[in-house]
Amino acid sequence: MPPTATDSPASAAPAPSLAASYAFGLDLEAGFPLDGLPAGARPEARGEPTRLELSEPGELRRSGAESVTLAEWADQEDSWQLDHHPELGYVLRTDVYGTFAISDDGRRVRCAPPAGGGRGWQHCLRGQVLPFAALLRGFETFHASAVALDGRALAFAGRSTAGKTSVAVNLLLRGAELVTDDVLALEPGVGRPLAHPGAAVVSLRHSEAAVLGGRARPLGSALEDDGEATRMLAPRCRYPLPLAALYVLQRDESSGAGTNGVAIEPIDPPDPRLLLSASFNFVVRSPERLRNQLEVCSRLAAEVPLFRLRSGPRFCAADVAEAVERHARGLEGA
Amino acid sequence: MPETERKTPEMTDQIRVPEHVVYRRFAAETVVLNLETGQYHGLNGTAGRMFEELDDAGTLGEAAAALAGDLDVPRDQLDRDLRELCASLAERGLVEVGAANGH
Repeated sequence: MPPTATDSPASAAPAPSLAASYAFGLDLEAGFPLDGLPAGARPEARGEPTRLELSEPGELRRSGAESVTLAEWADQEDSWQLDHHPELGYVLRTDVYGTFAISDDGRRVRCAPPAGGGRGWQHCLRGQVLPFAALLRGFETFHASAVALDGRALAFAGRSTAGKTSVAVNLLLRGAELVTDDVLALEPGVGRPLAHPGAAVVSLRHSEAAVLGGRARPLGSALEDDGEATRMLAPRCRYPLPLAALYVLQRDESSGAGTNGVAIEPIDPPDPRLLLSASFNFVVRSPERLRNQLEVCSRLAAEVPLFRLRSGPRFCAADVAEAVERHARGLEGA
Repeated sequence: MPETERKTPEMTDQIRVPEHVVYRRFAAETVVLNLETGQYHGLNGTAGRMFEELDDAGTLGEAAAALAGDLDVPRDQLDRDLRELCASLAERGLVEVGAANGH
């Protein structure tokens, strides 16, 4: 019996239909409507898709001695527990967003939303579960946002409050397309790693939205609001793009960038620790994954220009975005 | 079975990088990953060059001979440094050392 607990009225339909999408390098087939993920498969979809299913919560509650807890953490809005179960795979349990089971090969994701639907449970699906599945399918995920400019991807890494999303949003308002917000899936490939589009959603802090005012309108409609940030739909690029540059954001009192200025300098030689620590996933430690992580970081260091982007104490995302656009357009061979 | 005791190998000893060890050269260092422990190890430029040669060569002596032309150090110092590095790598399970007769 198909569950009906979702945050979308359309998902209450008696017979679930398959929704196709593409994100984080995964070709997705879902038995329920997807929020914040563009409809339609990518034209050159390849291989077996990752299937998303709704499950009854009880189906994912199997535990016992064979289940191993890999990580537990809590933030202001929720508490999380990640287990590994021999049959279910990786099981993510949250108080607010429900429970998700990701098969070991990343090809099947079972979702048990919280009772009553729980607005915004797909935020967890987009922001945590699908990147996890992507990792299991051979993509390497980084804590970074990215935009597409002139057919190339520019990525922004840095600490949680460094301004990755703010810079990306301001570049969108200057005409760039969204690649991803907060999680970047990279594929090694040949030459420069390919940056795969994530969800078509940006999480805009209320303080940033207040600064932008009416200028934020081109982003699209609001999808959800968690009290601190509004998750807004944003035009997202459809295809993977070669990563042309990675900017590591750093707010620096003594940046030499001036009070509210910006300084962009090459990171040369590239520091492998910087790249390894920018991972979005420190849980999966299988030999295959670790090997892939090192390979992707090595490729990044060898093929992609890395820059430290220092901004003064009066960080202004619009100014930073303007500086990045100017800098990126001047990159040789990028 | 990885060598875990701190024992300085002989120049005639066989050296092998086990399958559970992978490495990539970055601009200023080589990162060596032990897939069994999940630990990363950083080697500076010279140590990284030595590690690569140890991976290619059969014995410590062969690695030293290959490096002698590249590194601007007296041969006895090169041998000493290489043996020390090899002992340190073996201690971390990053190379396996076998006696010349294969035991």
